[in-house]
Amino acid sequence: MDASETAVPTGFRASMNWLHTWAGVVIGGILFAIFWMGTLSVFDREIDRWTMPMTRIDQSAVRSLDALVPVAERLVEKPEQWSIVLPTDRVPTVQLRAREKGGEDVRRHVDPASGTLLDEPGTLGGTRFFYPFHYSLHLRFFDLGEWLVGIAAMTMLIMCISGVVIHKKIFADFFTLRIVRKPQRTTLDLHNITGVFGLPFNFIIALSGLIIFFSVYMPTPQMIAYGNSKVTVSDETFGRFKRKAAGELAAQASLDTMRLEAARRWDGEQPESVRVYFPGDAKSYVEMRRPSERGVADRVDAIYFDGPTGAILKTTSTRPVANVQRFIAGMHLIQFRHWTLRWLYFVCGLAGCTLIGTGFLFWVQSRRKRHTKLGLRGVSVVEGLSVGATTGIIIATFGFLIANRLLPLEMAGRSALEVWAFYLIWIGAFAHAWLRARYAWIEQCGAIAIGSLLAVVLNATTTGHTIIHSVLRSQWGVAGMDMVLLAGCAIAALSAMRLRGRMTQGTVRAVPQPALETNHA
Amino acid sequence: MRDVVLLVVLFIAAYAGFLALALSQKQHWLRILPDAAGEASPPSGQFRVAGGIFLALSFALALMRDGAAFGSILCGVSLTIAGGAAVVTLTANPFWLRSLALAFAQRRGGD
Repeated sequence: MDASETAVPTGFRASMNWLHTWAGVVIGGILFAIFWMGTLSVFDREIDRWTMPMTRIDQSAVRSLDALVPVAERLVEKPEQWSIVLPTDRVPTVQLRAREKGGEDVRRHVDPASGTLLDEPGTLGGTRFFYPFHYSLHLRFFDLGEWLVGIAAMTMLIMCISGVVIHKKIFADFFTLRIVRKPQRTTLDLHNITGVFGLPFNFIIALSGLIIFFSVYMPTPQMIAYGNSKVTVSDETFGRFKRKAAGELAAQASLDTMRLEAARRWDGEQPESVRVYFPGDAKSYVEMRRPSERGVADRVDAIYFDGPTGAILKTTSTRPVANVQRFIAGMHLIQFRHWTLRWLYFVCGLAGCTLIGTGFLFWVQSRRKRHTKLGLRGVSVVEGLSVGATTGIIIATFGFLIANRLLPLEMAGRSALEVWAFYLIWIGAFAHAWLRARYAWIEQCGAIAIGSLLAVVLNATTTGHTIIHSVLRSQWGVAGMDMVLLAGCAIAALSAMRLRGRMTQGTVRAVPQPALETNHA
Repeated sequence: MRDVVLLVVLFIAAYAGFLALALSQKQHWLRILPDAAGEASPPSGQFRVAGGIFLALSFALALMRDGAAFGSILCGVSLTIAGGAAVVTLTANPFWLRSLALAFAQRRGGD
């Protein structure tokens, strides 16, 4: 970078251009990681089925909740609470979680047909690695990850708006995609198209993501309204019930009877989850949550039962203002049951990744020639960052899946090793990008093609579940994942071949920067 | 079956709407029909009205299929996909699009 690039220009459009460019370069890497993991999280439960072969069972309903009580209570010695999430079409198992006082959660899957515990999955899978990565980057220290994600989301909003401002011929170029010998033209057109057509989706996704974590980013109103009060915001807005344990033993009333009562009050809808607080205590209580998958809003409607007697203590439903927040959150979290929307979100997520990736590419392509001539290193630094942040994280993702299939199930610390594999491969991808700058894009596209194919092959060889087998057994999540992996393999292989062809022909040239930036602005 | 039909039709409507809007622009009209370069500009008004009607139809079908809440979201994301598909079609410039545009131009010339 030289002084002329870093100086803040005058004029509204020029300053928006500067803002858009440098916000993208600085935040783009984190933003791609968030978008990529968010796109994967659309199918986090299907990724769980793929990474946890023992959970690929046939769907069946839970006949008796009471039959699960001894299973739950054996998970930890003195559980402070335990919970059951009932099976759905995306998760055919009963998800059991138990916690001792001051201890970590123990999680296991149960076969609903037999009531038996399934083998420990030995992996964090989609719901406990990819999804938390998306919203927290797995940086828990003082909510650092959530703050970084929030900054990235805010930057995304700024870039959406500044992108519209700087796009001079936004309507004239609305449908323009030129596939020409100068890759910068194509890259810019692709960036503009994914930006313009993806604008509603990207804007709403970024904004709704910020609104989900409103209590993290804007804690002051709650502190002013509630001060040191023990009633927290979530208690009032969602109407939660709490009471302390009595310290005396008492028998547990029938959960099945409570379930019937809940279904009666909810027009026949069965609870989606059951949580027992202080099991075996005289003041134990049971929370049964109503499913919210039929609507967009991720509502928290619940009935609280007295543990020993089964009497209803409280019925709660999301309050009106909270409902607005839950609707906006629901648009982002997509916990609803709508397969068409789920796939469309996946495609829009990939388009968002393309938007960020082409933004990086354009920055590098439009400056490569000039920086090389002036002996500046900015382009090589950003190019390495671009490759590592985009193709690098994709390679690391496939590394995670491959490790999942190769590591023995009984290995201690297996899930941690998968995570290590992810991060080490990602770091390696950055190193490769800087050391093999000239061939980085080609070789990493090739690695993606090989990695995705290898993942499919390993799934078939280690579990015996080929795509055909999964389809015949109606394991649509696993079959879909294999098919998407194969599609990714094809796209990556074609990209690698095309890039190699261009390099061989020597057709990759940087367009002199001023002309192209004028067009972009 | 009803849901599948409505979904397909709303996508086609959005896709057709964007194609119509694209063809209302001179550069895309001339790209599809380079022989029309000697004539006046494309029938922008008619194409834009048609484009608007198709997009409104897509929105209406989304609401009919899934109600106000899901329907609005479905319309929003399907516009993104349909718009992308329209761009790819224009770039590929397939024979059927040229034939359609030519038929329209000839009909317009005959009026």
